[in-house]
Amino acid sequence: MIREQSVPDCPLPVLHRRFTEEHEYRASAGASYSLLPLRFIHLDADRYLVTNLVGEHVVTDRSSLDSFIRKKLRMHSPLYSELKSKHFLWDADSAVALDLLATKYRTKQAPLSQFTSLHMFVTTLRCDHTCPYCQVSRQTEDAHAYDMTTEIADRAVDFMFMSPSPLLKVEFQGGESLLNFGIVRYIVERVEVCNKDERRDIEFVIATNLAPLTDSMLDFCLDHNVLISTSLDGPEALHNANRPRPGRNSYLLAVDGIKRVREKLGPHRIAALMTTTRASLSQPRAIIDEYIQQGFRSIFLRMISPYGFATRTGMSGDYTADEWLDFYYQALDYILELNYGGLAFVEEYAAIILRKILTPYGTGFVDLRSPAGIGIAGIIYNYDGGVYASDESRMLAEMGDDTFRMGDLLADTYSEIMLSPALVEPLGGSIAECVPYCSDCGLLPYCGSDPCRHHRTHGDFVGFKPTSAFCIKNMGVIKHLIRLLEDDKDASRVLKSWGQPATC
Amino acid sequence: MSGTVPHADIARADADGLRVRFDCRAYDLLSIQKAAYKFGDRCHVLISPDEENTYVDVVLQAKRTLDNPRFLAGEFCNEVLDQQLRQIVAKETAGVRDLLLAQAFSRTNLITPELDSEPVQG
Repeated sequence: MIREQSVPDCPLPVLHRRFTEEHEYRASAGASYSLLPLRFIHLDADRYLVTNLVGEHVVTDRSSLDSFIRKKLRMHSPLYSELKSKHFLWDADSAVALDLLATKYRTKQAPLSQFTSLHMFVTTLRCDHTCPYCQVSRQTEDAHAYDMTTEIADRAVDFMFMSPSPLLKVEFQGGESLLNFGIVRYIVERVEVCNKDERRDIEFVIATNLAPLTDSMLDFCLDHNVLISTSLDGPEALHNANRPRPGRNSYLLAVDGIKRVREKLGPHRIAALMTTTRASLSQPRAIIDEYIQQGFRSIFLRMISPYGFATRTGMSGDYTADEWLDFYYQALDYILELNYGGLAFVEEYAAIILRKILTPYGTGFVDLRSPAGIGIAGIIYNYDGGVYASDESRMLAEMGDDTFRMGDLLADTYSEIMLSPALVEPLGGSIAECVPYCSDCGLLPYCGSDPCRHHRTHGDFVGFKPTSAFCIKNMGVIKHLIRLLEDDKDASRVLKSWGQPATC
Repeated sequence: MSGTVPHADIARADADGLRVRFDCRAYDLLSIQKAAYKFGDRCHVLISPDEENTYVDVVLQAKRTLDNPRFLAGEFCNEVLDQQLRQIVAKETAGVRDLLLAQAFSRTNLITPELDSEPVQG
């Protein structure tokens, strides 16, 4: 704050302003402060994590927290200064605190106004693999009745362009999407034609196991700037056990495909995802080593989901959330070790959360948003014209549960589909600020919700969070990251590089 | 109420489980209910206020036989204290929270104004 002293007569008196003595600023701070909205949660036995509306955080002990909330905290103490600088309180000096906080909140929520940016097209349910954890209830290779037609593809592309989002990500899913490559080609070309007038920022991604990949498909991907996303569950024995392919070695096909994609499209045009099965739990290091060996510099560690064949084979209930967390902590420890040794390798789920912790921005990741990103961030067009709020809810429909089916591309309008109760009701149950347990939780700014999973496992969109695998997982991961940021200087340096990349 | 682990005699064992008595002069019912919800994975909880609203009895039955019931009761009491703090925050910041949200979205048009009065088409 600059206080004017007597200034000479000058056309620019501001040049002659000087700062006054420090005690004059202290005198103006007043004798009391007011709280700004905040939440808190146990971080460990001795400490609490306190967060504000926009995810700024402070870690402190119980006694200090109690003093702060009861207005007994000594003003000008280090904790007071930290709380004030991070918008947990305001006093007579904080004339702009509310404006700043409002602006930050609007920035965090900006993805809401951009609306649906991820559009998934299920080109076919046919697949040449027989993965026991498959969430899709795949069909055999010769079942062409489960292919998307050009009529449905046309309607889906038109529907996609009705979203106001300036960025549109077109993702091809399956089954095995390459088994209906004709429709992939058709959709890419049609989107490009439409976009000549629309002028959006378009990304194309094909999710594939790479087994059917041909050279002409690669040529097409090169010509149209298509990215590839594949599955790699770990070393050969683990990958083949998780992802059997009748007659061929799935791992060798995947590794060969990864190599061919890199040679043709470039080293960074392919990403891989893994699914954690019980067999994976004892092999975190081996899985990460496999990713490094295949040239990847990141991994996304995922829990198995309770849909499709994963449920029928019992795999989805094969381990608890706590067992997965043990696996995750070991994997993360190893990844950090690799980084200390000079190898830049990122865990993607941690990176998404860290961006929420360390930057003023929100995330497009569907499960870490409130309200959830179902329909309003990502949407899926099934091979038969059905429109679903998420990939998981499409999988639920294949199991006979149509709860999240928003409508039919061939029968319903855009507004009928986007205003369907199948979307609006679960969205209402996914607003974390409005549901029990979440509304008071100190981790709310970093977390999200999964109404589809809770509907499947608990019978309602909100779920009972004390026993929710979604909640247990996220609480475990987020608290672990916060503890590392607070307590481990080396880990903190690496994690901050993940959370604050050059571009957000 | 410093939030440290309370005295070991806070809970009394009876046929139903462990019974903890909360004085209504110091603890409010909403905080006890919220703590009970949070402990739903570990305990069955029965909340019984008396007719004069001078105390609230809470009976805790551990769901897992390996859990130490007295430790659970202590943790439950600490959670009630945390919920009381949250009530203080909620009460004090309700107004400024509404103000902040209004300010945050005051310049945002999530719905195009000219379509507000027309039927949604498409």
